Amino acid sequence: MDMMESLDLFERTDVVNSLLARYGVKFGIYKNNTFHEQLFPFDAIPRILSVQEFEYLEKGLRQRVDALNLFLWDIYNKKHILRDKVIPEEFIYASSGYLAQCEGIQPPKAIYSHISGIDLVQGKDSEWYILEDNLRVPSGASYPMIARELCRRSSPRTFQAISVADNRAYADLLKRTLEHVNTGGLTVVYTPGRYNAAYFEHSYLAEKMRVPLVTCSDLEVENDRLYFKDYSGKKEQVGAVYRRVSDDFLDPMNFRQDSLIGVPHIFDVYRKGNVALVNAPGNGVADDKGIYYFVPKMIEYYLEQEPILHNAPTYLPYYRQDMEYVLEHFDSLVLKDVAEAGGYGVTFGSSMTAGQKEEFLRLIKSEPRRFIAQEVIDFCDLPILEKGGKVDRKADLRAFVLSGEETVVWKSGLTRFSRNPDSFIVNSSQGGGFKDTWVLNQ
Amino acid sequence: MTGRLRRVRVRYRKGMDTLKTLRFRYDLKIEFSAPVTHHSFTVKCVAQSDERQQILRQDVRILPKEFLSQNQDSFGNSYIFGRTDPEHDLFHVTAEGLARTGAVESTAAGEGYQQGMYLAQTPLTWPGPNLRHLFDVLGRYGRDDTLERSLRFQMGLRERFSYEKGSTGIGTTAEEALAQGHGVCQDYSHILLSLCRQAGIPCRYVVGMLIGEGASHAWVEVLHQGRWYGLDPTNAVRVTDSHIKISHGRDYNDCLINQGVFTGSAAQKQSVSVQVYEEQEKGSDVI
Amino acid sequence: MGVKSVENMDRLFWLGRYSERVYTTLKLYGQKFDSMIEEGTGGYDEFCRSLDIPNVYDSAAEFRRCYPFGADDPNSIYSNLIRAYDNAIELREEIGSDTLSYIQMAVYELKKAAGSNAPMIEFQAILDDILAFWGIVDDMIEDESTRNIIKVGKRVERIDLYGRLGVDRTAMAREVHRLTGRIPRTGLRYQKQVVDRLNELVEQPQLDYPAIVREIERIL
Repeated sequence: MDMMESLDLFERTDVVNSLLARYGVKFGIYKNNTFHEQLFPFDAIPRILSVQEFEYLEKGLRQRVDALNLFLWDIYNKKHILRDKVIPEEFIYASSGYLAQCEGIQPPKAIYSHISGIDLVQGKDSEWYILEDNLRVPSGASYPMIARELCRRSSPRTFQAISVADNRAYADLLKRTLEHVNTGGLTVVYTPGRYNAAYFEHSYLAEKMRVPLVTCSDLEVENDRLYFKDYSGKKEQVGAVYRRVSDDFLDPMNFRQDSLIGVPHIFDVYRKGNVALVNAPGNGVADDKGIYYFVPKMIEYYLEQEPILHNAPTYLPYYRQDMEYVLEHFDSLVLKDVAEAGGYGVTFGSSMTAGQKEEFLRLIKSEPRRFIAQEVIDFCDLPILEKGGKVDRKADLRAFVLSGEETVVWKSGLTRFSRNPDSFIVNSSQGGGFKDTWVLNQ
Repeated sequence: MTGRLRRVRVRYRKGMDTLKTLRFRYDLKIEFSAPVTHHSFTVKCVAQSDERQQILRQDVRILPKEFLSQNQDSFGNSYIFGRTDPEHDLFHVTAEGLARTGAVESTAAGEGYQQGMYLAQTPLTWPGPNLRHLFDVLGRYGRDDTLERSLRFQMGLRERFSYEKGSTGIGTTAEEALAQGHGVCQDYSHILLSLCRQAGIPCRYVVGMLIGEGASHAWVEVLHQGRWYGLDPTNAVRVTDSHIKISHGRDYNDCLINQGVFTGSAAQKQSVSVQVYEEQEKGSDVI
Repeated sequence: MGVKSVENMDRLFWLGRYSERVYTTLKLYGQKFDSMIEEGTGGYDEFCRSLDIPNVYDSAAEFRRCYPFGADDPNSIYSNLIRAYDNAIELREEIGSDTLSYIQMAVYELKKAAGSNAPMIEFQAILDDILAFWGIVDDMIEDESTRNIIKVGKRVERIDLYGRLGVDRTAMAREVHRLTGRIPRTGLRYQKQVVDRLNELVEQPQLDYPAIVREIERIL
């Protein structure tokens, strides 16, 4: 870090941000029911991971994602983990991410989570903790990818002086991952459309992979297969769909009937094994905040290994002794509603008024499965540039793990930070910014 | 989706000695008030052979169609999906065939730990105060087995719930139906499912056909000693040899007979007619 | 990439048209702006008539504010640029981020010009962006039909505008000839007889401008 001070990258933050604006690096948000595009503020001070640190994370992340993929196959097929009572059944069937429609389906190569976004934080004790697994449609890889491109342009000296693993090959890695499960035909990126929050990412990844970006109107099912409709009326078979449309809206014939962005029968073709849907539908059962508690147990169960990376200390009020602990230490815990995502449904015991607390305790007792409680981790803050100086902010790391022929951890990641000095919430939808994540070559 | 059964010959005993041959015809018409195009559909009206019912012959016709494809859903039901692009104002499905029933009254289930999805309440069966109270009244005593217990729920329901056509809709929950005290076969079934699930008995919703019914019918199957047994709460009987099963699932929504999306603004009118009667020449070779 | 959806063909065509509309009307507006420095008021009515857009402006000041920058005025340069942008943003994977960036920058510049006392300076940057956009389309887009559709969109719009403005025969004939050579190489479904008719029209001694505009509007 000291060495970096002498280089000119930090002075070039504004240049990088103006280049990000030039390339339309934005995310969409809805305010008062109207769509706005917002720039995603970039901070030039990178998160730096040493070779050793990355290797440690890599081992732990591969282990975790491998176990999650085995779990997903097991849950939708044999259910041995339920037979052996490692996870109580009701945590599966009451989870909104569990989709009975996926029972018995064999996704190509038995991969469910091809692209996993695993959120981690580093504590002040320098220990890494897993905060959340995102196995549905995790987004964010495009931001450090393009930021790196623009940083290299803005400050070549920095990259001459410091040897950083190139992260721009993400598109090739992603394409290989998609082609590994392709059942024959085109690979496409399927977006809900331009008014989706992550539309920039959808279009950017399609561009970099050199594959078509499609919406529902470009796809059609006929005779057990999925086709891309060409302007000339020609139909090309599609073998892999990197779909950025959520399960609910994917197919009006199998999920929400009111979906206008779905492709009728796409799920029926997938059921027949004639197309790969990436990620597989039904993954929500494995990244539920309630299931999170059980991931270390899955690693032991399926891989017969000790988990390398740890969860944040978590309590399930479902278990009596955990409930007692939660009631006793309420003020020092953070409480999360399993059904909510994106930083919503997170409350700190210490910040509640007496009335709110009473109400919450009543809720937790009547619906114990709905909540998890976690120790508040003393985050290792990261510096950001502000008004010519540096200030510390909360930050997390979203690591991208791609499961294809083998499980690979991308040598980078999205580091998000909170804008507000007192906030623990780093989601872009709540006003945070991002940093590049560097993995050093030596 | 159903009418009430008035008079029906149903055996109340477990053992069955004679086989029945049932001739069935299922007819579904959807009339559109204006022509529609690009109509994608999924139809779940194909009966399948199992231990309890043998489908000797079945002929399914769907018109109009561009392509048709057939598969099994995650619950094991057979379904047909397809699309028709040209303009049409009528969608017509018929399924006719012959079934043989009466050999046994139950079907084998998979491993118990694989049936958990049938134990979880769904939004349609979720117990509110009325269902919890009814369960307290009916379920909190006795050392009976799961089948006896389910039958007790069925009998208890019969005393507290009456049949009334048109008083509920497809989205009516078990709790809502019970609160108003009357409903149709779908409501009877959802209430029974809710009670059994409160008692920890895995159970599922069944759609099928029944002798003497003019429309499709719904009932319940409960898991007892590794086998599924049919209970027909609307008629307060056990399912033996007069019912032909089409599909099962966690609730009504898993067993929709017809689903469709199309382009065009048209009102839909759906009419279903079902005929099931016992074949006179019992035991003759019908294949 | 080979495969192209109907929607993308359509977007490429309209991206070409709107980029041209912004370019040409901005240049025309620049001339008008210059003459209005001294004249102050008046003259914009004729400007609207020549472009065949309704004169909805109450004063010269309003014209100067709304015609280039009005978000609610469907005929404003701003509205046309946003239409170009709306098409371009959905074509990133087809035309590339670098190509798209010039349209994005033109949008930023136009927003900047709205608050400027000397908007002609920012307008120049917009013209530069559009010229660079056309340049990069030519230079960087590998797919021939992608390139050609944008260019055909641009020609069609230019013939349309020239027809309304009544430019001389040489300029008009040049555009029609360029279109004639390009359009068969797009994969677009177009009216062959319209192209033939346009070629006849530019040969006539007196150019029939309304007929040219009528024809070009039904080319696809």
